[in-house]
Amino acid sequence: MPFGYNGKILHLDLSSGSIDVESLREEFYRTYMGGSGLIGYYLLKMLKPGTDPFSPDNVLVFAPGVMTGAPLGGMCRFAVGAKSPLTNAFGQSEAGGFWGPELKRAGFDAIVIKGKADKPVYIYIDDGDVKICGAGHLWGKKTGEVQDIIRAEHDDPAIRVAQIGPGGENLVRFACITNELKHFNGRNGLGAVMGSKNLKAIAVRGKGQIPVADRKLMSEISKKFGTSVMENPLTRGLYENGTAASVLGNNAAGILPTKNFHYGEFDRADLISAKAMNEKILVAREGCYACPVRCKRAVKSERFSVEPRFGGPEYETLASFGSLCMIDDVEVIAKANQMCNEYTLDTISTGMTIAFAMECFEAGILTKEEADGMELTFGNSEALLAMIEKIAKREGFGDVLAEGSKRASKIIGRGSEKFVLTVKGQELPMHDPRGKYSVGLAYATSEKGADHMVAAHDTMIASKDQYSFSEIAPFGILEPEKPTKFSPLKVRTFAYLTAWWSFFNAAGICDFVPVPRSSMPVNDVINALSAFTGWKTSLFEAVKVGERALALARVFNAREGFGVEDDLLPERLHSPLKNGALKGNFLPKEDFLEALHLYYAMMGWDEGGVPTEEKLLELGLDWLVEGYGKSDHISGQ
Amino acid sequence: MIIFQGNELIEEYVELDSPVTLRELIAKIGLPRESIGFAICKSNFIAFDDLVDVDDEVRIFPPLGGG
Repeated sequence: MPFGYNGKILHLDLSSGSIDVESLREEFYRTYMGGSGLIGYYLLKMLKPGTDPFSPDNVLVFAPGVMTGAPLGGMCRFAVGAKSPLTNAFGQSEAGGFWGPELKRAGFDAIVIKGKADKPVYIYIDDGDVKICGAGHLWGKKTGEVQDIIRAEHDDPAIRVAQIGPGGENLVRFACITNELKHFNGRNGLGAVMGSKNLKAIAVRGKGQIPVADRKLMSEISKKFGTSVMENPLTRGLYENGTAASVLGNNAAGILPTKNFHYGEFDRADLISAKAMNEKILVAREGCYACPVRCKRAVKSERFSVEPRFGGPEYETLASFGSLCMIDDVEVIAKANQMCNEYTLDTISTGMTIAFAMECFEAGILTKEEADGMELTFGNSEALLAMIEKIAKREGFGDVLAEGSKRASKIIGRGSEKFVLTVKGQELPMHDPRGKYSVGLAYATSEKGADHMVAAHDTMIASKDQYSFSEIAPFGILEPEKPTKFSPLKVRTFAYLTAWWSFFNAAGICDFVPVPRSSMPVNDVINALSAFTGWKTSLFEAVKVGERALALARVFNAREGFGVEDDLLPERLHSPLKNGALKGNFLPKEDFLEALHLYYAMMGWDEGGVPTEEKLLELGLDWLVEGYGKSDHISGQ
Repeated sequence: MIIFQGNELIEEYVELDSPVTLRELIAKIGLPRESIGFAICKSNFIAFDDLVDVDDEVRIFPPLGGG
């Protein structure tokens, strides 16, 4: 019996109804670990280039990591992957909560799904027993009701349900997946892939235990982390204010995206801040599996029938429906958040797509008639809420916006493309790279399009005297770099920490636990991996796993025709911020391009951003290199 | 000087006769260096050895991350 994982991957074909279990050996888990690494492996093996993301041939993978389910804070994450209907690129999005650990306790390390059911279904996994159940009675229903029905059907309130709402059923290209009603695989439209397969939910109950190789060491690391949570300002801040603390911080720094990224400062930011949330709507601070950080919020608003069971808005949501759309009412944002949660829409892409439409409207590109009779102006709360509903149901103009802002601009035309802020077709998150250049590089180079959770942000590691900086010394990063500067040091730091973040994803570790974003030192993370699995491992091996996962995704994208032209940023980021503490700052295009190509070279990728054959061989991915395909694998049969 | 701390913006006025370094400025108000993630003055990120003029507004932050 292995430690830390089960050695079993569940394979389902929804077209035929077949259910198979693949057994895999330790080498597989050490090579790919899970998450994005495991997803990359199966997508490259099973998916033909050029496949339509909504075709039954698309492959949908639910992948916790080797650390998921460990008795330690933050070890709760799982990724979902497929070819993305939003970007047509490598699609992958992580969530926390409880579903990932539950799947491992039910006996599986991942689920690989292909085909399409001929009518709506959900998958029910009960301690290794797998059934495909009819979901005709659930189709069209919102998430709260669906979770209640599934739990009642099996008479088990502890079942963990990952599911889609009507947004996913209606193939909104930025539909997300939710578990426990309040945790989200938010980005890349993977909820729409579930919808395209007629798959409403995956309900899991696992009562098994995942064996720990060294309980004593694991317990020591856990105790130390638990103590550090309230001592370290970064983790304590996450507990006290959640991610919402960034609203006032980013606003004061002039990098709070405002009015579709025209501005970096919102004059009413205090009304949508953590303080406003804490005073007006907060009812509980919550957390994920085994985690003492408890950064999640539960909110309530009687005015808008907002219920705590749907959680509460994160920073991204406060900004995307708030400053970005010039909405200054935190209860309206809480309502918008709950609607997205019930319909399963990604709040970032939803806010960004509506902000795009608002800019089109104010520029006279969209008429009131085209906007279904609405005054779609910045600051119009009623229009915001009405448009979310229309997008989820693909009604009227909502059907256009349900395509995402890039496709919507192609439908609208008339010069609207200059208001689109996407990379690879995915809308920008709520961090303005004009005040933190690494974030620009992250948006540009992430395989899944613009994403803020793939690398350290410059403002986290800008001071030599600060804990978060000094703790990355094990990477050999000994000097900080100014947030608004590109240099070899900046790119090297970005490259190492992007691999570190990629390792988190593959291993199933939340970004809000290890340094530099939080308080668990590098060596404790590596020792925890060793304590759970029994492996003699190291930071070197962890970073290589991260690099490998990135390389797999880059190869996938190259196969789909992506190149350097898809790693560019919207022009607006190369023009000056119009207000705030960093007024006048912009990302110089030449500096950005130089940094981009330096990053490719440091990663062992060619001028087109594709891993070289030598790099793939260095990462042990011989099977991806013609003539070297001998070391493929790893079946435990 | 505007300090972002926890969840609030705190304004502090510091009388200066002549320009001082950021290091000297934060010493004057008793802020520990380890608590500071970065500082902005005149639309620019400044380092501890950079000079702050008598009329400048300086904004001081803890480390700010993503998420």
